[in-house]
Amino acid sequence: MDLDDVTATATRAEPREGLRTALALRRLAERLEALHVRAAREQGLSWAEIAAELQVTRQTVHKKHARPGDPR
Amino acid sequence: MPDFDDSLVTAHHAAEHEVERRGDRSVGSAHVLVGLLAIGGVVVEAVQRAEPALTVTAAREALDRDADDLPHLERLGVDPERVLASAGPPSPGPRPKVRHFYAAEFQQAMAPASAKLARLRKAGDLTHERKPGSAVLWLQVLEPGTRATQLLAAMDVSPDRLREAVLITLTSPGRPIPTWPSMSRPSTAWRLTDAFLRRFSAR
Repeated sequence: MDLDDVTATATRAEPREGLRTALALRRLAERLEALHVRAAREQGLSWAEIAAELQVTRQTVHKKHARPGDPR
Repeated sequence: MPDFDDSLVTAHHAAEHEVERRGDRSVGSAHVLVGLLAIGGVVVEAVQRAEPALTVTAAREALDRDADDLPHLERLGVDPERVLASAGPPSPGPRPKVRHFYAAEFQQAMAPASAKLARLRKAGDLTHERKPGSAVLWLQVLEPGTRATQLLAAMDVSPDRLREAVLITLTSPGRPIPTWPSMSRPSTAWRLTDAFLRRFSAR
């Protein structure tokens, strides 16, 4: 199923089902983001570089993903 | 501050442990459900008599694989395991710093559930506990619309049967099991519980 199919299936849904699907995708995206941020940090990317890839501010990504003791 | 039964405090700590274990950012009804099951006790024994499949291991596993989201993702042809595998194995080490506040879905269930419980108490249908205990948390977690009820449904566990089992533990001897009200307003019992919950939220 390609992106167009996903979009078509999602938009054909009843509103409640559509909203619930959006929630499921958001939770999955959050988990995926957390895993990739961790991997990026382990490979030496800075918070600023990660923030640029995610198109958010450095403060946002640090606040969300920093572990205890991580440099800012 | 009002007094609270130890089981309420212990369950909250167990829920926070779940949040930290998963690296989540807030305490939701599903964390509280796992926390409640983890601490055991009279109420847990009652709910497991009603729904033997509901163990702490099963609930934790359902939460960890977002079992309630699976049918919605499958409908789109999205396989979450495959998506997450693309990022490689999760690395060990400390989790992101947890901020203890309550997820909106759980916050919205707290006041209505406590108010309904207060209404049943006022009607004389339930025993008057000296201190609020973990049964209050159970009823909040089982309120319709929480994530916990969606996870339970994904596990083929009936929230209604669980609620009935909880109410049995609170019912005065010789009284019938009361019907859970459909709507209610916040009450004194809720305000006491809310005061306790806010202590955790403020940390």
